[in-house]
Amino acid sequence: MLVLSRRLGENIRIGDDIKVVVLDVKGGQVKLGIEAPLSVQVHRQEIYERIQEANRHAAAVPPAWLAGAARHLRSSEAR
Amino acid sequence: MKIHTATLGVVEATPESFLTLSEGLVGFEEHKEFALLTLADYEPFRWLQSFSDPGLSFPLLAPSRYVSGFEPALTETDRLALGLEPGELPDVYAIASVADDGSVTLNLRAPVVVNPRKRTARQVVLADSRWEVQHPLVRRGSATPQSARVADGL
Repeated sequence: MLVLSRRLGENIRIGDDIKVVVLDVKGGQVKLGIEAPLSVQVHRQEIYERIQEANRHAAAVPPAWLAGAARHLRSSEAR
Repeated sequence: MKIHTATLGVVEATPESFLTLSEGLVGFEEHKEFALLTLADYEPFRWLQSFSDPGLSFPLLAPSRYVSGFEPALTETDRLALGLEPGELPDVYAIASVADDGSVTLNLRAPVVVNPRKRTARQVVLADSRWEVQHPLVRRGSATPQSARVADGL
């Protein structure tokens, strides 16, 4: 892993089009500003992992289970 | 055209159902071309079926009828990526999961937002942590449960 020290207001460049700025450092917390192209999605690691896990789970839903849930939903709406 | 899927059999997909997700879904970035299928057995759910992998499909549900007040705030980046004109409203879907007891959760934190005019879509990660990754789907008309809201601090 590359390790760099930066002061408040200083930047890091990643490739030609990604810039990370240190905006604030306070009480063990660092506030970063990130400029990146539209095609690069930027997420916090924890939320990225939870969404990835939810997507994996959804991709593995057996169609029969979804059909069952769908019947349940339709019948409760018909009432 | 017909798509031979691994789990849904052979399904008919019209060009109006095609969707391009240029960044894919989170964790599935390599899959970009999908069909949004409406199949009678699964309504009101729909299936987002990958063209590149016949075994890859995701259940979707439009949450507007089931979750009150869900209006995802899109960033300008999201709107640009989808090609939405100013004022143009996207279609919003949540990816659904079903547990073995039949209970359904919706991922409201990262909805799939569609520009129906351009047939583009994007899984948007909302900044608003009120919307849960596993929001329990409650049948319409039944009382809203006091679901334990896990403060994720994000």
